[in-house]
Amino acid sequence: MLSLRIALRFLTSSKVQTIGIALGIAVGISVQVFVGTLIISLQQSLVEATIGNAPHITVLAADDGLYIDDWQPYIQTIEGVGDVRDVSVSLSTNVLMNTPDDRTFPGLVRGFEIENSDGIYDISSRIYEGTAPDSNGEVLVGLENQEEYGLSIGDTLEVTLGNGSIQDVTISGFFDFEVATLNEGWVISNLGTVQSLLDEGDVVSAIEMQVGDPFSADSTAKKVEKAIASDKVVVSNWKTENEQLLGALAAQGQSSYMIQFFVIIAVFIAIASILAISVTQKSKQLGILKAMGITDVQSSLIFMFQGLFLGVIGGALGVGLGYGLFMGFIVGASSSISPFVDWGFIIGSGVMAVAASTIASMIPAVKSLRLNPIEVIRNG
Amino acid sequence: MGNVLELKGIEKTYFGAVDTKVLHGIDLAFEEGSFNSIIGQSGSGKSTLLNIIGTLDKPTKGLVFVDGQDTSKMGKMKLAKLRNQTIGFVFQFHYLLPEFTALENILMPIQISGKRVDGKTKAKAEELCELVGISEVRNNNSTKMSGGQQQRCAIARALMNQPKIILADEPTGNLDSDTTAQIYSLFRDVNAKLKTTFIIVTHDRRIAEEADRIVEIKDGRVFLDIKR
Repeated sequence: MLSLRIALRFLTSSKVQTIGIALGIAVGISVQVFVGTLIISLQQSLVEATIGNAPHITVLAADDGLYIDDWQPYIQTIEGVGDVRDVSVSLSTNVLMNTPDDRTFPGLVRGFEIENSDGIYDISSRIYEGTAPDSNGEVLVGLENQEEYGLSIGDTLEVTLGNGSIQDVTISGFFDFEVATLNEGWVISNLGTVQSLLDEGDVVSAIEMQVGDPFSADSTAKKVEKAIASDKVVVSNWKTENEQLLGALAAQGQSSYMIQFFVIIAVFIAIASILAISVTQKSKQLGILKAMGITDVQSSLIFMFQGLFLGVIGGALGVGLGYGLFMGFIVGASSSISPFVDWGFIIGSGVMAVAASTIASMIPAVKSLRLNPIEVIRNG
Repeated sequence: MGNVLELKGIEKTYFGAVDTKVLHGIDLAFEEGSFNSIIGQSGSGKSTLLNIIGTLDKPTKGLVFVDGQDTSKMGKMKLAKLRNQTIGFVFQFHYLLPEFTALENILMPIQISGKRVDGKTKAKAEELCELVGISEVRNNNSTKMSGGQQQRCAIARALMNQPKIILADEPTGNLDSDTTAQIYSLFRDVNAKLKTTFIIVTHDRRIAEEADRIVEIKDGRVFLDIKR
């Protein structure tokens, strides 16, 4: 195809100009990829930090202070709902813990089926000393409480419940969730221990689960509610409890779109103006080609192809550069941001560069349509 | 031989703040295989006439028949095809594409016509290089040739599609007298060998007198039309 050959020759014969334009596009796209990927990673890290080790959907008893009895059938029903994973139960109650040296701290005793709950809380890997409670009457205590009260494995804690009853439990290990409020506030045990503390029979206070897509937790929660179809329980999800966070994430996402929009506009203007200058530079060549019988469509295609190639080269360079910058930043800054590479977004940025530069090249293409060979020939 | 080109009542007016009429009802016919020159002073309208003949410009009034076809009824695409197949242009400036070699420039009209460049067309382009005397520099970029070589290359390009008509506008205007003589001798050779019709616009009366027919344009009208 002649237009393609001429376009390539125009680009390769003005190497410095071609490299300059491609680098211009590359810088723009690399900024887009870098900023976009960084913001996506920030959002993911924030979401992970907030709900990574927390239930996305929780089923609670409809009346405050009551427990869910007959909970096993619910588990089966919930597990049948698509996108739901790591379904587990917990039974929690507020207590006062009395240490061996007769000091007292408040705590929320949480009873889990530890193996099942690991899917959400990853309790087993959070135990830095000792073991998970494997028989009734054993508990795990948080790092801050261990340090504050000088506790050791095997120590006995006196547990005072809300109804005044007092029972003893033994420390089997210590955990660290890397969140001070959880370490200070929680005392973890198995389900049986808390059930026997409460003496309410085989009850749970919550059925907890995570979902594949945390941002669809609200719609999945509705499905869970529909599947259970019981007025004895209510279903809540993390989104309703974290509206501020969601608002911040949305604002962050919008700022990312704004940056991307202006980058694309800059790429568009740069390509359009540089190629428009190129039409003037190549007007003699275009004039004689038209005199020799090249059609308007063919002459326009010369510029469209140039735009396409510049977009492909600049886009590919920009994607590589942006990705490299991002990974360099993550490694160099040794930040707590976990890299989340959304290839759809990155490839989309590259495709956008190609589309923007091809569309931008339509401006010089139209300019070349209007070029009259006589003007060129007359002016020499 | 029949007429390869006919102009009937050609008028051309440039419209602007002040309308300027540059051609006033020109009637001309050119025989196939003839060697013609159009002379006239600067501003006489001779280049405008050549551009109209070459379908690069449209007359305000009148008809142009190229190879028997009425160009006024043709769209842009058809005119482009007509120019590519029937007319070869040689201008005062060579207008070679600097990004391409001499040989590639010569092959350009074939590629514009949509035909593939095969061994046969390449051999023909080489033959034209030989004919115009630029074989040694055929693989040079057009910027790496002398002025005379560049104009010879432009002539070879104009001949590539074996057009019936060659329109040349001051083709030696930028060349020294020796090279000018060589170029005209080349035109004559091509005219004799290929029976190509030549219409050469020049302001140099000595050059014009080498042609078989001299048409003088004065103030947009045919002032003289001498056949030898």
